[in-house]
Amino acid sequence: MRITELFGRVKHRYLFILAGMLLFLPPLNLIPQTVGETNMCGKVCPRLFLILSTKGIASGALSNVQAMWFGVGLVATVLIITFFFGRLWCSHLCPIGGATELIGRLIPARLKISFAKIDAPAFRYGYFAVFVAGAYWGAGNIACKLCSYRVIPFLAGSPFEPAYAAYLSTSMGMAGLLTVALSGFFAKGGRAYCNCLCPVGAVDGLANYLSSKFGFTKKVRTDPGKCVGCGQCVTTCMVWALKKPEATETVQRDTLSCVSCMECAKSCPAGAIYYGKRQK
Amino acid sequence: MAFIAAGVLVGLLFARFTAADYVHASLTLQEGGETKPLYISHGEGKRTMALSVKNMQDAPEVRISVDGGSIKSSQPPPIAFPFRQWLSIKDDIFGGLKRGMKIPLSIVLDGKREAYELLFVRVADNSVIQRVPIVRGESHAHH
Repeated sequence: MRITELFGRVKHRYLFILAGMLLFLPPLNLIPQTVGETNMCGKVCPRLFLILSTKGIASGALSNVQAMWFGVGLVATVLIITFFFGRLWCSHLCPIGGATELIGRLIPARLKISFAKIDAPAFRYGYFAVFVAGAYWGAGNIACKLCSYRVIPFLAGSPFEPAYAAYLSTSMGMAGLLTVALSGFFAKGGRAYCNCLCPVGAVDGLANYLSSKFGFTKKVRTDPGKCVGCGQCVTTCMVWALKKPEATETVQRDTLSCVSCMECAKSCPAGAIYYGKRQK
Repeated sequence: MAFIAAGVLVGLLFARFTAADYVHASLTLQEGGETKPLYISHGEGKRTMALSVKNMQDAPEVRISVDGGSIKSSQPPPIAFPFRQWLSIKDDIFGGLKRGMKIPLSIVLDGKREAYELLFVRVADNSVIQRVPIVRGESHAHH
């Protein structure tokens, strides 16, 4: 296996991902330890506070923010970065999406599942609606079930802590592992969980979509004047955010899904894809 | 529209998903405090409970035990940085406890009994702080 196949084209991104994994995941988990957590749950959880509480929306939100203050701060920081610079957390630092992508690269392409036929934004926000309001509606609570922010740290910690292995050996743990394996490790690009099921990704995608309307924000953008419509970038995109409709000559980018990984920019033979402000 | 519906459907499937052998629960450890039972599902087979205990008592060392089961914790972390004080665990004695601290427990029960008892004992004088029954029934804490 060549190094470009293993690490993609933007190699510095993998150094960031590895740094993110070291900082957030067991056994080192330096950042969770600063607030007294040993994994990505509890105060560090960046997802659970998004759920509407059955005890009352406002009081529940306040209670969630108090309980998961670090996760709330993390998501707020991510959204600010995304607004100005694109989804650098998701593509460069997230230890969970990074781990699924990195492990996925070790799995032969012939065993990979393509999810590209799924209209990711539609699916994602349908799922996200249930994630946020399911408990409030009385339809059930997704919360920690099958959560990749639980499964990946527990998987990384299981050789060191028997408590993690005990969770992964339950039906709930195994179902979570199966979900992450199918939509992460065995997904083409390794990012189907990120693209379809991650609630942080859903919020972050929305921030990216809205902020991309402002020309002063830095995003991965396509210069339609230079695009030759070869479709090379479409095949490299991990989150199937690039499409080349038959009716058009150029590739179209879905900013709700684009994670700013810049793999497409590196693959473009015409130099039509760039990272930066909108060109006049 | 079809994919929005598919997302909602998968969300509902996830939300309704339960595992008979796993439950998440929480408990406040307080001397003389009200003790509500913890629930595990009916049926045979190993049961794992992720129990988040909020320590509201003052003993620095507590023995935590359950007959017919074993107790594990995700603390201390494998590589513990010195800027934080963690629990120290030796056999079934949990040390380094402070009031307000969270004690994450993973309780694995053999599933052969109808009921269990989780026992918290102050190590200094061997007195019982709290007895928590674990019984069969519908769990009310699902996350």
